[in-house]
Amino acid sequence: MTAQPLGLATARLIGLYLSIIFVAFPLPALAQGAAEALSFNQLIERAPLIVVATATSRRAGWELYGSSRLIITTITFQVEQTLKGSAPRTLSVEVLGGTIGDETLHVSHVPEFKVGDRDVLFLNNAAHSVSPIVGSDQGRFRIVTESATGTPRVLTAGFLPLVSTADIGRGRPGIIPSMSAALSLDNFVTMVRDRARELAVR
Amino acid sequence: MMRRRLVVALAVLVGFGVDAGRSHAYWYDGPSWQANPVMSLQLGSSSNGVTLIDGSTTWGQPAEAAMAIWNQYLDRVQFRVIRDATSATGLGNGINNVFWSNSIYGRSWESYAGYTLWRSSGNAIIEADVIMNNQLSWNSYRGTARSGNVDFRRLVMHELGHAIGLNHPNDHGQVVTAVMNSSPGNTDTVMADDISGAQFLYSIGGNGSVSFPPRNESLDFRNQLETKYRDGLRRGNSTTYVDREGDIVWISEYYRYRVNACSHAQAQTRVFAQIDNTGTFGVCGTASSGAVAFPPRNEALDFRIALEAKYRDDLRRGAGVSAVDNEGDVVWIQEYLRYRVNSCSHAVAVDKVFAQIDGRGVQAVCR
Repeated sequence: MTAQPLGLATARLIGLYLSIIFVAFPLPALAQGAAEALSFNQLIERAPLIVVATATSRRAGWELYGSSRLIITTITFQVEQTLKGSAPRTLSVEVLGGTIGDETLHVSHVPEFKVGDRDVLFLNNAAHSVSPIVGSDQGRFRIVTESATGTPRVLTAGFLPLVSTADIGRGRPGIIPSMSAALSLDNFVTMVRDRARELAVR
Repeated sequence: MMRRRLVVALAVLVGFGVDAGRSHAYWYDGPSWQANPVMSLQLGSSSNGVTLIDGSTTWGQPAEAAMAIWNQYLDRVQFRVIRDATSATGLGNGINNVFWSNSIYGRSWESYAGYTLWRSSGNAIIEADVIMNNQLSWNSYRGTARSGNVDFRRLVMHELGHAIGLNHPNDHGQVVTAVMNSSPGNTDTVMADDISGAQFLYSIGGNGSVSFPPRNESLDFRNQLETKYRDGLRRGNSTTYVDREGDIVWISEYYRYRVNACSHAQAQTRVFAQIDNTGTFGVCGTASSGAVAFPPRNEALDFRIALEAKYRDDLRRGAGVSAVDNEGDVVWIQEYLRYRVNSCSHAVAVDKVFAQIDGRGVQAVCR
């Protein structure tokens, strides 16, 4: 077993983006029973930082909380674009869970990142959240290149093609749309930027 | 995380549409329990002593009900419960805590009503803590999810699914109806896909160590029994919604599960799932060596009564008649099968059963 304590540099990077002013949101009723299904606007409003980024490394370490021994994974991203807020070119976030040696801590509803994953990330502002992503995993949008055209397209965290931002938070579709129907990354980025600007003006 | 049922996900990525609910796409991480998971319930009574919508008076009741539902589909292990546990909560203590909290071990909630943290070492799950958000308005009910009132039973059922190693099927480009979807929504109990996942991880599988006779022979016995009751015993007809073939097939299936280590509830659930065509199951274990033991008659009769209701209410079958009443039905079918699985031929078994009916006592088996 190879326990690796979190490095000071990592902690500073985490602190950098977490230093954004915390805004408390009321906890609304959970419309779908298990999760508060967040709309496009809500994701943007709750995310002080929205980036297009690629995971470049991940490192697991132990963390003590009272008598509990938790595995925390620090994921480092290379930021390509910042759509809201201000982000360094290299950004690290923590997720609860991970693997050290033979032991794995699995945490439901917390997204897992592999090195090479490219996503649009709506990052929350809680200093110690179970997940760094708004809505646990709802604020993660995967970028997958459509093989036929080479166009980068946007999928939900659950790998469903995102056809419209109006579909966000609406629950599962009756029919899974085709990949070619998904929003292109360029369109999605423009929509996020525009809506973030509109919401900031209100 | 291990990837399973990748075909459907790949179908999405190459652009095929998939009809909702068609895929059976359970997802799991890999490890499973090697011993019974003992869940320490630390949930307390319902708030201010108010009875919950489903009649529960403690949060432990719907939690235990959820475990009982999962247990129907778990063969290698079973959830066990410690009620009103007082042990300290914590991850890494080897105790499977189920409790309310305003944080996940010091980390704030993020949109979900419950989180499960489960530890594995190699292929074995070694601890699972289920944490429910105490900042929400909870109740316990069936049916459509009610805004502002989170249903505790379906949510704890979902989290317990994580605790046995299942994950969200809908996180992988799939559309399926399942309580294990990341948000169960209006699904208030385990569905076929959830059952398949549980069976995949925990089924012993196979048809069991006790072989049952072919259906044509069992049906022949049932037909002879009908004649015996009508002409020999001069019994009058009573109403039944279960046709004779359904009667012998499903009662035989019930007994097959029972003699292969399934409980009454497990056997009934599996037979009804077969009737509904929502799943096929292995048996629950290996029968003990020696003469094959059958379940108590009251349980078999209970199943027969439930089968009658199933045919009448769910399958909407029309009424028919039989000279064999429910009790005679299960008693003599059981005796026939008991002789058969203990090495008697069809003809010998029929002869022995009819000897019993004629008052000549229980006959010796053929081993």
